[in-house]
Amino acid sequence: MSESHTLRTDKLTLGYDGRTVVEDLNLVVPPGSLTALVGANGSGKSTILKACARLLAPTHGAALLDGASIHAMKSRDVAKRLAILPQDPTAPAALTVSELVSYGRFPYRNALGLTSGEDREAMRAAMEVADLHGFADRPIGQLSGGERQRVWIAMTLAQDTEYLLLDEPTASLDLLHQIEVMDLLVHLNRERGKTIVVVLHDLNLAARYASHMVAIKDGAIRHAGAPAEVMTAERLREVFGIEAEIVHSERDGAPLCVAYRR
Amino acid sequence: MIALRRRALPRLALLGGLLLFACAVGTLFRADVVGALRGDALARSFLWDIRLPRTLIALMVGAGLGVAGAVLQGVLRNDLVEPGILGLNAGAECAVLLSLLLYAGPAWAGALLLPIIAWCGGLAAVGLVALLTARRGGVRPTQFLLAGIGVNMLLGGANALLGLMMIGRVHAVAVTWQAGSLGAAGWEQVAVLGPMLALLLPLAWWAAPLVNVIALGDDTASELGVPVARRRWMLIALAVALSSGCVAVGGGIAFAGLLAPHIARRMVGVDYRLLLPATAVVGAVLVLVADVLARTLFLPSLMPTGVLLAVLGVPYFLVLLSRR
Repeated sequence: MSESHTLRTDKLTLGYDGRTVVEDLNLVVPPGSLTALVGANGSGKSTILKACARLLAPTHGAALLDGASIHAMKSRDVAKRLAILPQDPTAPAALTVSELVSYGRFPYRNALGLTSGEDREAMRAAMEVADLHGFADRPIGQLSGGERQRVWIAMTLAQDTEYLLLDEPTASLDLLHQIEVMDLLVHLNRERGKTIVVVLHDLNLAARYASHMVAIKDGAIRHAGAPAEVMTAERLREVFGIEAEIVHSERDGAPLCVAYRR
Repeated sequence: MIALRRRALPRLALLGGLLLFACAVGTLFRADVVGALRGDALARSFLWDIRLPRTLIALMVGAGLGVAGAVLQGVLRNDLVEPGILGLNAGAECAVLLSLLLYAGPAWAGALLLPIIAWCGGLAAVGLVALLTARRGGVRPTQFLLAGIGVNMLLGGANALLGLMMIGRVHAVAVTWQAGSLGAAGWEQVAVLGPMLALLLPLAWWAAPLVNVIALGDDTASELGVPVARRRWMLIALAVALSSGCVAVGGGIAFAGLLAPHIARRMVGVDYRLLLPATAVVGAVLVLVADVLARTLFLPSLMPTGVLLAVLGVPYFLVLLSRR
C-alpha cells in the first residue's frame, strides 16, 4: 500500500497520568474522506483526534502521516500539512477577525516576520470561503457563536493544509449554524480536496454529512465504514447503550437515529 | 505587517509625538538652557551629566518594564501579570536590604554596587520560582504564577523584618529604593541598560508573532507548529532579562509593567506586533512624566518616581478600565 497522502495510527496507545484511555488503536482515515468520529462521552474520540494532530504524545505506537511518525516530524512541517481546531478555542476578545486569521499563517513565517503575497492571498481565500466578508476589523468578542466558529475555521484554512481535524465544531451552535458549519466542511472536502476528520456528538449530523464513520467505545474502534453500515439499531445499542429506531431521510436517504430508550 | 489596523496608525503617531514632547520637557524643564547654550559650564554640565542620563534612564526603564509585562501577560495568558509577580522586585529588594544592613564599605562603592546587588537578588528569586515549577513538559502558567505569588509573600515577610531592623539613614535609602527612584541615574547606568535594551527590545518585537500565537492557548499554539513548552520558557527568560535590569536601576516601579500594556491595548488592540512598540512608548512616557513630576512638584523635597506613578498613573488606569 502506498504511504503517500495517508493519515493513520499504528498501535496507538494514549493515556493521562498513567491511566490508559486508548490502547493499540489502528485507525485509518481514507484519503479524501470526510470522516466522523462518534462515540459516547469519555469514549476517547477527542483524545484520539488530539494524538493525530500531535497535541498529545502517545505512550506507545504512533500517529502516522504518510507513514512517518507525526511526533518525530518537525512541528512546523506538520503545521503546514495538518490543522486541528480544538474544542472551544479561546482568543482575546479584542482580537480582530483578520488578526486571528493571519495567525493561521504562522507556520509559513519568514525570518523577518514579514507578510508575503502568498500569506495575503491565503488569508483572503480563507475569509472568502468561510463567508467572512466585511468581518475583517470586527473584534472576536462581538461575534455570535456561529460567526466565531467560522473565524476559527478560517484561521485553520489560512494554514493551507491537506488535512483538517475538528473537535466538535458544532457544539453549542443552534441548528442553522450547525448546518452552516457542516456545509462548509463538505465544501472544503469536495471542492478543495481536503481530508477532514471531525468529532461529532450529533449522530444524525454525522450520518448526513460524513462519507466515513468511525464508532468508538472505550478507546477502541467498534465499527468503521459508510454511515449506513455503522448506524444500525444493533450497533448503536452496542456503542452508545441506547435503543434506537433507524429511519431513512426521504430527502437524501441518510440514516436518522430516533432514540427512545436506554 | 498583516492586519495593521488603520485606526491604530494615528494613535501610534500621537504616541510618537508624545514621546518626543516628554523627552524635551523631561530634559529641559527647569534647566538653564540659555546658559548652557551660551557656554555656561555649570548649566551645561547639569543638562549633560544629570538631566539627559536621567531622562534616558526613565525612558528605558519604562519601555523595558512595559514590554516585559506585555510579553509575560501573553505567554502566561493572564492580564494581571507584571514583572514583579515573578518575585523580581521582592528578590531585588531583599538583596538590597541585606546589603544595606551588612555593607560596611565606603558609600560611593555602595551606590555603584546597589544595582548589581538588586539584579542578582531579582534573578535569584525568579530562579527559585522557575526551579519550583519546572517540569519536563514545560511550565503551567497558573502553577508558575502561584509559585511567584508564594515567593513574593515569603520575600515580603523577610523584607518587612529586614526593614524593621534598620535605623535612620539606611532605612531612608531602603524605603526610597522600594518606592522606585531614578535619583541615582547617571551615564554609568545608561551604559549598562542601554545596550541591554537595544538588544532585547528588538528581539521581543521579533518574537511578537510567537506571543500572539501562545496567547491563543497551548493547543492552538502547538497546532500552529510552536513547541510551546520551550518557547514559553524562552519568552519568560526574555522578559526577566528585560525587567531585571530596569528594576535594578529603577527600584520598585515595576508596576509600570502592568499599566503600560493595558493602556497600550486600549490604543492599538491586542496584536503584539503593534502592541509591543505601543507599550514601549506608553511605558517610557509614563515613567518619564512621573519622574519629571516627582522631582519638580514638591520642591525642595524629591518624591520617589514610583510614588508619583502610583498616585497619577493608577487612577488614570482605573478610569480607563471603568470606561469600558
